[in-house]
This record gives sequence, structure tokens and C-alpha cells, in this order.
Amino acid sequence: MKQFLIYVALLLGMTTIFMVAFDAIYTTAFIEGIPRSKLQYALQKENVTYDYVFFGSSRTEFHVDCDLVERLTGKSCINYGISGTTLFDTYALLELLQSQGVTIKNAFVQVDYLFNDVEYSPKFRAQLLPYHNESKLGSVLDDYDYSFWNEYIPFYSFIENGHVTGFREIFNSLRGARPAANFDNGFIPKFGKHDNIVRALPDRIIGANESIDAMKKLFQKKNVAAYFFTAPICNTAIGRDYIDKLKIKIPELHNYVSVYDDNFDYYFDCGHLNDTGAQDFTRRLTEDLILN
Amino acid sequence: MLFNSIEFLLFLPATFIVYWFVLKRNLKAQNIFLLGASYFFYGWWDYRFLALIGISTLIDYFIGLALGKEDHAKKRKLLVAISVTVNIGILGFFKYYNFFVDSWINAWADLGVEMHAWTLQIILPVGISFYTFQTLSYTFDIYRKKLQPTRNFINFAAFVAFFPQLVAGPIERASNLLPQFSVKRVFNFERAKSGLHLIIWGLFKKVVIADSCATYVNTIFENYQDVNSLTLLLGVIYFGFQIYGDFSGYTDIAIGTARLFGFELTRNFNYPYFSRDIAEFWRRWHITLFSWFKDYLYIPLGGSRGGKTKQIRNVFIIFLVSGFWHGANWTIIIWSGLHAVFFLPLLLSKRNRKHLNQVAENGSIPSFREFAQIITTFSLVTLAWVFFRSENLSMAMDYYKRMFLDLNFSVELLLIERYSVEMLLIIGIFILIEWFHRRKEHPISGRYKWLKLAAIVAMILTLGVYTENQQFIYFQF
Repeated sequence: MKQFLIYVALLLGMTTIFMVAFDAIYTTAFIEGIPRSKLQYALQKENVTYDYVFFGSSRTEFHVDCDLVERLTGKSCINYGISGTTLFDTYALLELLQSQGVTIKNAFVQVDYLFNDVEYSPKFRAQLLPYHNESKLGSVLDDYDYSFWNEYIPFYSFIENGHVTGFREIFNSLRGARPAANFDNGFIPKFGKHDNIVRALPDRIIGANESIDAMKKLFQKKNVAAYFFTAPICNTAIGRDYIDKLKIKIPELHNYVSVYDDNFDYYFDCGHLNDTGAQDFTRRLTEDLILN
Repeated sequence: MLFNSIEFLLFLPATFIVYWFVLKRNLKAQNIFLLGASYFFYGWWDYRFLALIGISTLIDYFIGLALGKEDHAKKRKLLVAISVTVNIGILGFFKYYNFFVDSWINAWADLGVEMHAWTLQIILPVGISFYTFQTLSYTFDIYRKKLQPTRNFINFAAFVAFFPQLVAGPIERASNLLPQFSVKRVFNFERAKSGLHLIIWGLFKKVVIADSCATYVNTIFENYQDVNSLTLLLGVIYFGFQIYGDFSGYTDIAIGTARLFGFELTRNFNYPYFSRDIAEFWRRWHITLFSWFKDYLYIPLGGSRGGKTKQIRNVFIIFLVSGFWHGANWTIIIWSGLHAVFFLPLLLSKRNRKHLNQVAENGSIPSFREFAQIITTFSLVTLAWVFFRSENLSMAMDYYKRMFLDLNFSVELLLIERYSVEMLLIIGIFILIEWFHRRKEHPISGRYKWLKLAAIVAMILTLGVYTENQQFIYFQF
């Protein structure tokens, strides 16, 4: 038995050494390597000024082409929409950008049925975890679920979130592979038509979304011109009147939900425009909210 | 409790310490403790289903005792019939009730008669098919006078519920496992070490091979109508490795865990993807299930004796019943029927026992003929997996149609935003590891043992998939 216990101890020792070493390698690659995600990119940007910044989920990321905005306005633009994220994450991202001295003159936030979602997204949390010892993160991580395992077990955060911050991403980062997306623009076009699955919006709307309220306060405090808008949703979607209820909660909301009811070819799927639709939508958004 | 969970990571060492350090001098206490630990392990999912194991255990314990005393043939048959009725009754109710009701209603609906649905919201108790077959084998062996009934209830209950193999096998015979509960266990370093190595190797197969493949398989099967022939082909190849890594990985962890407690379980997989024909495949895949069917169904039916018609009938019965054992779904029935069709030519031409040895037994690489045989067998098995993985028959047929008729073999970027061919590299490495260790139980042995161990641990840490709900596929059976 003694021999076995020594053997197990050696195995555990080897595993611990691996975990400490991998944690150091992954953290370094994630923080200092070529950014593989929009959050990594954002956290490497300091003291820059943007004229127009677009925030939100995939319904911002796939819908706003900042190259077009820049061509139309002659001013700087970036799309910080991140697929799978919530308004909670958007506010966290805003806080991070502010803490890094990023100046935003005009902020555009896409709001839709995600108004009902007051939680953070696991994906955004996963991307934040490698920075847990970085001072630049400030207290942002405090609002996220940050467990004993994340704090004290080396490499646990990477194991837990292998699909987001795992080997494949780190390997690509270490070998200097740039992602297909151009983060300087932030727009990820979708091509063709994927499916006609009917989307159903929630029946009810919640009383308030604290992240929206916090964003408004922050914009006011930092003197940022803020615009809230809702991107198009196909006309076969059930319960689009949700956006009418949202308009009551956010009176300044610019509602574009039905602008492409006659242009079904503009949709990649019910909740997302394809590149053709996105180009038209970007033009429309720019003309409505910026040029006019 | 899943083997690849933090709960099990705490449960296993705690159980090991109590078992070897606190109770080491007391066999009875060790067995009572193993029984309690097994019930705790199973109850972690849903404690209510412990009652089903309890019923099964009680029935077969007392029927076993009664069979041991009874000499009258008719009464002995009656006792076996009671055991079969209760065990298969419970299994049938939980596993097949909805299937038969749905099929009945659908059959009438096809004739234009609408019937009211009587289906219930029945949850399938984890591992019910495994422990039901295990207890039945005990009763059958006593009936056939191949085994003496045990009078020790604790030992019998621990044999039925033994946690390492409770939920997904290997399906143990009482003649192998039950006597081990009566023998004083002495800790053996080499055996425990090999158990530990099996656990690590099984974990590698589960989290690195199976769960990585699952990411691609799920994406491809969910979007099968939108992807091309190459992606569909990759989808089914990945599923073949997913199910192999998942099930054989579970088995390795089960056998390894049992070894840590001084028990030896039956081998359940023997490098099945290196089989040279379908008959060999079924001697190497889920070995304990097919040996169960062979001993308790196929041979009593006459086996390969008798005329061709009888042989064909027996083959179809054993494969279709095994299909039913796997799942109450027509796709699984068709899958098992396909394997029967693949197997029949071998049986009828008396070539079903041609490949009893290990492939390329004395060499390191197979001959061209052996290689072609392996590829052919793998292709047949892989094609049949489409039925196993599809949600219904129309999906399976559509999948085949698109795979064979689309004929677009360009590399596609999947929705998971990775090139799906990258997984082939990991599978390629896995195949090579298995090939060069096919004469051994697992690869963590030999001259560079520590180096191999380090590489496997590193891969488990870096390449493993640990997202929630990575259940073992065979838990649903």
C-alpha cells in the first residue's frame, strides 16, 4: 500500500506540475498573444478614441459593417458586438473599455428580447477568467460567478472552458494564426441563407434591466451620446410585439424590427441578416442615427 | 455520479481510504461498505430508482435460494419464470412502454384510425438493462445447475449493485464476480497500479476522443441538411469513435476502479475497430452483452446447429433482441438488423470463426489483405452507425441520401467555427496508439511508461472536453 500511495503522490505531483505550467503558458498566450477573440482585442486597446462604437450580441456583430460607417461618415467606428453575450456582458465590456482610457463619442446598443436576460453569458465569463490576476480587470469579475476552483486550482478555468479558451485557441494564438474576423472593424458577415426556423420572442417583458440602467448612467457620466436600437427580425417570428413593449421600457429605442419584412433574401436566418442585408442595414442605421 | 465528474473525483479516494484503511481486516464490513457506497453512487442520480435495484435483488436472491432447494422440474421452471417476469417486466415498463404504445398508435394512424395516446412521462432508470441482465444470469446459472445459490444476502446485493460496473457494465456473470465477494481481498500494488492506468486511459478515451468527437457529431447531425457529403461522412466516422471512446472508456474506468478494490471484472472491448469481419467485431465489441445473448439465448435456440433456415432465424433473433436491449427505437432495431445481414454470409459460409486471433499477430503492420478487411469491416460498422445516431428513420435515410448523392467533398467550415478535419489528426494518433498496443490491455506499459503516462495526462488536461452534461452514451440503455 505504501508503494501505491507513493505512486499516486508522484502521479498527482506530475499532474500538478502540468497544471501550473499549462496555466502559466495559457495565461501568457491569452493575454499577450495575438487576439483570437474580440474581448482579447478590446483588452489590448488602451487610450484610443472611437467616434462610433456598436455594442450587443451576434445581432450587432453580424449586422453592422464599420468599414461602411467609416466610408459614409469619415469617422472612426468599431463593432464590439460579441455573439452569445448578454446586456450584462455589454455593460462589463463598457466598464473595461472605460477603465483602459478608451474614449467613446457615440455608443449604439442593440437591445431586443435579451432585455429579459439579466444574467451574464458563460462565454463572456470564460473569456474574462484568464485575466483574473490582471489589474486591468478591476472589479468586473466580482459580478461574475468566480468559484474557489477558479481562484485556487491552476488551469481549472481553462479546463472548465475548453471550448472557449482551450488548447485549439491557445495553439493558434501561439503559432500566430490570426482569426478570420477583422477585429479592427468587428463586423462578421454571414453569407447565404441558413434556415427558415421560426423564432419565438418571449410573451412577457421583465420590469427593468439593471444593465441598461447602468449603461445609461455611465453614458451620461462620461458624456457619451447613446443610441438604443433593435435590429430586424423576420416577419414569421412569433411575438414581435415584444419590441413594442420594449419601446415602452426604453422610449428612445429605434425600432428596426420590421424594416425588411419584404426582403426575405436579406436574412441569413430569422434573427440574423446576411451580408447583403447587413450592408443595407448599416447604411440605413448610419443615415438615420448619424447623418440625419 | 459520472466517472468524469468532480463528485466522483472525491467519492473514489474517500471510498478507497475507508475500504482499505478503516475496514481492511473485516471482509463483511468491506462488503457492507461497498454495498452502501454503491447505493450512494447510484442514488446520486435519483434515489427513487434504488427501489428497483432493491426489488430485483430481493427477487433473485430468494428465487436463487428456492431454486437451490427445489428439484421438481416444473417448479424450477416456474421460479425462473417469476424472475424473468419481474425483471423483464420492470425493464419493459420503464424502457419499452412508450415505444410500444407509440408504435401501436402510429400503426393505426397509418390505417386512418386515430387512437388516443396513453404514453406516460417515464424516466428511464440509469443502467437498468445492465443490472437486470446481471441478476437474470445469476438465476439462469442456478437453474442450469452451473452455480450454487449464495446464502449471503449482503454479498449478493453488493454483486448486483457493485458501483464500478452498475450503470454501464461490463455485464458480469455471478460465477465470476460473486465469489470475489467471499474471498478476503489483499491489496496488490501491481494490480492497483494497472487499475489506475486503466482509469487514466479510460478517461482519455472519454474526454479526449469521445467528447471531442461529440462536439462535431452533434453539430453535423443537427445540421445534416445543410452540409456536404464529406462533412456527413466525417460526422458518422466521428460518431463511430465517439461511441467507441465513450463506451470502452467507461468500461476501462469501471475495470480499473474495481481493481483498486481488489476485484477483477470481465473484459468488454478488445480493439473492435481492428476486426477483419463482422463476426470478429462482435467478439470484440461489448463482449459481455454478446456472450450473455450467446449463452442464454442463441445456444438455447440451437445456435448454428440445424438447417439454414433455423440458423438465419437464430441470427436475426439474437441481433434484433440485442437491438431491443439497446433502445426502444426503430432506428436501433434497423441498426441491429443491418448487423445481422452483415453477419449472415459469414455464418452460412462457416467463416464466422475464421479470425479468432489478433490481427497481424506476429508483425507490426497488417498485410494488404488484412488492411483491406479491416477497412471493409470498419466501413460497414460505420455506415450502420447512421441508424444508431439518427433520431428517426426518415432522418437516417435522408442522411444516407445526402451523403451518397450530394457528392460534394470540399472541406467545410462548420458552425462550431473549426475545420472538422482537424479532429481526424487526434483520431489518427489514437488509432496508432491502439494499434501498437493491441496485444495489451492498455497502452500505459512497457519501457517508456512514465513518458506515455505524462503524455496522456497532458492530453487529458489540454484536449479534454469538460463542458457540463457529457453523459456516457450507454447510460441511456
